Amino acid sequence: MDNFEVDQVNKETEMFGSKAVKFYKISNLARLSYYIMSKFVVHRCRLFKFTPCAVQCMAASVETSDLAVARSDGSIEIWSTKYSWFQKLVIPGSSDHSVESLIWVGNRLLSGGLQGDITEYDLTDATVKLSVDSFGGAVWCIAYSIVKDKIAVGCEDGSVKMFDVKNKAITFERAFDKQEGRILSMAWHKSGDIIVTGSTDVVRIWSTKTGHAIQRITIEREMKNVETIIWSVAILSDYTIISGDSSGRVQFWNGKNATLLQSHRAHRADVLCLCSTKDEKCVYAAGVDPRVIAFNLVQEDDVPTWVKGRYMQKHTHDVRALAIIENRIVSGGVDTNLMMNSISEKVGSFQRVYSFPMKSLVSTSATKKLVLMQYSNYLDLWKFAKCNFPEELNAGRNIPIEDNPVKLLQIKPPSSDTNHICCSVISPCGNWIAYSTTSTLRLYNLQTSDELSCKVIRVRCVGLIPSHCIVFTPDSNYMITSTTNHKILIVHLVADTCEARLVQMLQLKTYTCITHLLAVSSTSSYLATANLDGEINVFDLTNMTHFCTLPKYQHTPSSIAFHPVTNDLMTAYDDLQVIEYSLIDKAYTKWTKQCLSTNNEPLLQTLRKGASSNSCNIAVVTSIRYVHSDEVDKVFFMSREGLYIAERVPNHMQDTKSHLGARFCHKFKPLLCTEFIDESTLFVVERPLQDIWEQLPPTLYQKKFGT
Amino acid sequence: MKESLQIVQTGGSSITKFNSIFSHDSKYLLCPCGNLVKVFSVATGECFQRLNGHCKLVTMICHHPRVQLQILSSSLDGTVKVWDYEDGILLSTCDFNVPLLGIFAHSCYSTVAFVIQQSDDSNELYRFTLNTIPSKTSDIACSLLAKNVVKDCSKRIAFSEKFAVVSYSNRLLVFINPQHAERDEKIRHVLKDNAPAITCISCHPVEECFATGHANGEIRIWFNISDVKNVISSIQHWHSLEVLSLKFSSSGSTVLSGGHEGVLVQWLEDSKNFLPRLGSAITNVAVSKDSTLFAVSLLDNSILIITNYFTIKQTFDGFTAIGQNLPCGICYDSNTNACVTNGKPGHLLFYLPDKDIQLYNLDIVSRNFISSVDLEKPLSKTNILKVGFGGTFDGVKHMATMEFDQAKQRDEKLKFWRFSDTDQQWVLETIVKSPHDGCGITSLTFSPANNACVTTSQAGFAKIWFKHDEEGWLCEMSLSFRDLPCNDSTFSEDGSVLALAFGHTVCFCDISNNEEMQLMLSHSESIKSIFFGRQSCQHLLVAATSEELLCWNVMTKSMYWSSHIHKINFLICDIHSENMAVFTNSNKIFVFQPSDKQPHYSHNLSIDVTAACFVPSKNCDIAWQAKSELYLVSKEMSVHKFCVKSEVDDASNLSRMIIKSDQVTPMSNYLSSTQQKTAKTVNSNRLQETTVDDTLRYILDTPCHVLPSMSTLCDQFISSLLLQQPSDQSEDISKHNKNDNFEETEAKNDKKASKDEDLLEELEKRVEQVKVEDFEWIQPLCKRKLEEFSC
Repeated sequence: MDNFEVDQVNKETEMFGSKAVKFYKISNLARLSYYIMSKFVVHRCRLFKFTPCAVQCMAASVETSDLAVARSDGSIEIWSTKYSWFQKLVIPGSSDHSVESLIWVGNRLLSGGLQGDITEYDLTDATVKLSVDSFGGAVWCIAYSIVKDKIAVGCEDGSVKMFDVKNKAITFERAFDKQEGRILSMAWHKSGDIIVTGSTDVVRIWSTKTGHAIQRITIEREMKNVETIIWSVAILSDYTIISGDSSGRVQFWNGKNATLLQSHRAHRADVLCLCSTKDEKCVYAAGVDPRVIAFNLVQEDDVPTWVKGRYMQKHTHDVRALAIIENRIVSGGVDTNLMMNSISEKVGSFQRVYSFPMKSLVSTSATKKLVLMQYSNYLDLWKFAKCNFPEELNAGRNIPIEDNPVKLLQIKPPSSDTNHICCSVISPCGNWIAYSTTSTLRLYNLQTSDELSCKVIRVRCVGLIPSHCIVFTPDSNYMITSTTNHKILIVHLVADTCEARLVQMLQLKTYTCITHLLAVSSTSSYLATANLDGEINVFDLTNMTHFCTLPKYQHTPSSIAFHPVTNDLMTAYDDLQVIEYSLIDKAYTKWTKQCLSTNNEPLLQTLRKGASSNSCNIAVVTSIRYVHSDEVDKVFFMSREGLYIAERVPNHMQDTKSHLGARFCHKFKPLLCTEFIDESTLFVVERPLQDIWEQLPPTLYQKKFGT
Repeated sequence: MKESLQIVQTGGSSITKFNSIFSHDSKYLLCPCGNLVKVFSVATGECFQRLNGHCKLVTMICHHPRVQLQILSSSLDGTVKVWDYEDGILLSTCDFNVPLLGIFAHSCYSTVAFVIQQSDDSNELYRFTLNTIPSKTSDIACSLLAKNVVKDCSKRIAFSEKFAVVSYSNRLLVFINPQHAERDEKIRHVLKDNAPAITCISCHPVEECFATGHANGEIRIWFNISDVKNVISSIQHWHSLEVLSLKFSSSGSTVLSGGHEGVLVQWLEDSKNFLPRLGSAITNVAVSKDSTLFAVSLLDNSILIITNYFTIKQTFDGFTAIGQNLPCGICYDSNTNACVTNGKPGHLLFYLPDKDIQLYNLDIVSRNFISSVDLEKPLSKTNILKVGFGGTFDGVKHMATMEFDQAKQRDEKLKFWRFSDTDQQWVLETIVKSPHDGCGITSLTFSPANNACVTTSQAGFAKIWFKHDEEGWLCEMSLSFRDLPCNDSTFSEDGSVLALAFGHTVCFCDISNNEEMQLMLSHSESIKSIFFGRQSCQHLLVAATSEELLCWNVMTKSMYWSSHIHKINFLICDIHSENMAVFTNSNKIFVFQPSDKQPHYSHNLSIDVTAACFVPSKNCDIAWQAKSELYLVSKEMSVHKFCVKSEVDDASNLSRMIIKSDQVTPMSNYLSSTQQKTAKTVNSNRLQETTVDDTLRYILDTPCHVLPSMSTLCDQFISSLLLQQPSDQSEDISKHNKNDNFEETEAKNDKKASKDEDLLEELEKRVEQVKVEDFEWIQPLCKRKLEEFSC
């Protein structure tokens, strides 16, 4: 039995509300309310205090056009940017691990942190692969030279250490001369001969051959006693050095003789990051004053001049990282969202990438009316609020709350496990809770003695492996996990005796990427798995065999679900395409064929137009639910911004036209969970952006005209 | 007489409506002003030259691309004129026969200039060759460059060394090498759909870079302009309202901008300099060639010369009443001989109409200029509604002003001012807060006999204010009559009788004796304004209703005459003569004397008159203006007066005769003295040629019996002869000449026979020695000689 806590009384007042057919904004007081949505009552819950973490650094992969984003809690997200923005995987951080700098070496991802080591991540199973000591204390910056195939790290002790990264290893090679003060920023010249480092008050140019500093540029101080910190340096192929410092200046230097070319005081506060485009005609700078400013090269009469170009002010807080992916500039910072702008001013528009995770952090037990909320290092278990539904449900009327929601438990991993929680789930019956960190998977049995008190007992089971995804079968007799070593574990659970037994270990064919989706059919007869490569396999659970593999679509599946009656497998992809596959016919269903033939673009994409167009990742479907009846078959595609509802004729009715209609309902605050409690009640967990903003630290004060 | 009279513009007009430019040596500022181009001296602030020649509004001026001392001007009359601005000479004219909205030239394109031609549906930018300026329109070789140019083109088109930019509200056309470029050889830059409209533009003098000002106050600097795809624009934003003017300094290192805020902003690379509280919106900025001086044109019709240290060096005031309809009319101040009217907001303007000189703006309201946040809703401001001047008593002259914020119905103040002889300025004596409770003051009149002042209001009260030595001005009497609105008040010339117009009734009262109101004259209609006659018409009272002009004899209390005039606008009275003038809404003027029903003069004016004033003057050829001239101010705030037709031409030639007034320095003294010398010798040469011949011919050709007596002719004759020699000697003396002279003197020495001859000889000697410039000293001598001769 691990730690658990019971929180007896919830002090927050909750309210129920009911509104039929039409959607209205609920009053601010209501954190929880019921709505009637055509035939559904919507139960809105705002108890989940999900707070995303600040973006610490970013690195764009040249080879795969993936973007690695490190957050302040040490977690690293890999975003696929090729077709649409999709959070491919999250490598959970741990409480003793920080990421200060991130770099792609080919398709390897390396990071340096204040704990003083260089870490390599295994992207095929989202774990730490390798960790090497920096031999110089905390690592502040890393640079990679493709010519030399080496990395250089700037350390706390003021030295640059060079590591060889050949042969999939990281081996220490040499240390440069020690300087006074930590090395905060670093850039490696294309030729590999020169490294530029920035520290307090000084920029140094090092020769990689000798390890000695060739030039030393002293950066002017604004005030005599306040040192200037060079937060960021960059070097172009023509030896132009760009420095961004704590006094808000972006300075351009001639690197050959260390003379100042130009100095721009475009920022009002510290410049934290710099980034140059591939053609080196434009340099972007951003910092505490949350503006991303472009500096363009104007070559007039062979005299290069850097002029201040356009600026983008989309962030509300410090911008800490900039990256260029293809022809877009991506910025991220303390306000946790990524902003994306086209490099050329004329084409393309601004897009915002929200920091909501792809994985569901909330799971519910419909029978026991319990909701499990996953935070980075603990789990909260709440009991739903209750209300008496009046006989006649009218639109525009709130249903008064009867019992407040109650926080039953808080489950924390033991203090020895510093890794953050990767996934968690509560079984549909409400008796089992499972969660996994990168090191351990833990299973608990929940025992409720009365309404408001309960306890959890850890159930030990041999052979459990940390997993990416955990599901329980609808009858709660089995727990199925997709493990970090590319296996599917099937664990039989016995509720009465609190026992768990590993019954089957299915080997997956793919080793190159993680299996991030699992779905079990309503009769627990089929299991579907989907991986990031887009492969979808169906296993027969009755005889534990591989049943079939679905046709591969070029995009990544974002959610899969079985039809409750026909066991058709519905898959939603990250480009908002939805495809339903009949396991019996081994072919696309009639509805899918019809949708594909009538629409040129993905079905949900057509529905989504009219909704906010400049946010891209929250449109991705995170879960699919069927509501089946004899007359009409409804499919609910839940995304972070709303619900896509497709209505169709059930399969048994032999009608030529099966597609009845579809609509998009986005009158919700950002949704973290959407679940059917029963056929007429929809439980949603909302997290208004306003609440997230309130959690963020204060911004740099800037006088605004007219205030 | 009536036919020969015509009105001419003597002053007014905006000097800030169009761009002004500095001369190349930064000594002069040239600004288009109505039909003229005025040349101001930067050092003295005087208007030193008026380039008169266009017959319609001058729309733009620019430097001649080759000749430093010449400018080109374009006008709505369809001509481009070339001027020598220092001498004020019109050099040539080029007639396009199409109204021209602007002209551009740049020293890099020496042979061409660019004009904006206004046609019915669009304004077009043409290029024409400057080399030969033909007289015929068809001969001008024009090539079209751009169509549909925005009307306010002087700020929207800019030329630099390598390129020209034509801006529209959301796109820009760049012509590289505009002296050769064809119409389709242009680069188009289109702003984004949501981008604010471009309001003004300025080119970097050297680099390929220009700046645009935008409607939301942004300033964008554009680089890389020859590249359509990779044009770079960086945005600066300080102005909260539209940017009205923008200029690169001549070195290109800074940008100057101004807008409705009335703040001049100098943009440096990383910082900004401000010159705030300029008092009005900045409409134009000009930069001198050496970047040491900036000329900032303000919306209130004044131009400030600002040094590069941001200090105001000089102010040129136009007729600063621009943009108002002169609520307080025009008063005449006998102290300064100036017309007084509304000037800048909250200021009184003292203006000399005969010289077109603005003396000063007197701050009455004492409020700072604040720009409104929304231009659609301008902030209300306190206006001066009435002004009046009292006579001089005990050596003190008084003035009273009435101010009121009409939009907000507040801040009604009556202020009494005293002219301080020691400080030579008006000193505030008394402020009376809401003297009429905001009920609309209708008149303010001083008594000519003592320190008393009458104010009347629509609420029906006439208040009489007396000056007390200690308390200042106090209201001693308040008169009303049947609650009728009191529309006007007037004192008889001796100050004994005060007439008050209450509705349709005129009441009289003697304020000095504190008597009750008495003697009423009434009429069927409401009386708008009343005036007592002056001088011989003292007993007559003239009243104007909206449709009728009435004249009563106050002594007999009977109607003297009445005359129907359609829609009377206002009535004015000349205090120096018996004349009165009445203006109608249809711009007719009738000048009459109260004693005579028939007007002396009537005229259909071509201008909309807002206000008029009689100003005393001596030399006037018009009979009814013998004592004072009538000046009119039009709706466009241009000042006009009546002129005999011949005088009109004089006035146009006047500009030639204005003497150069420039700063006096030792060097300039020296230069001017040498210049004068040469000038004089030349003049005397010419003089003697003409005068000698003329006088001789005159004496010889005329029959002797009609000749005047010899004594009168002698002066002229002798002096003309005398002039010959010194002028001969003033030429470079050849040896031969010298010898001749020597022989002559010798010969004369021999002649020493008579005393007379001696004297003459002496005289001649002296003449030789002195090389006389002034011959007056000879005249008495000659006279005596001749008298003796005749004897």
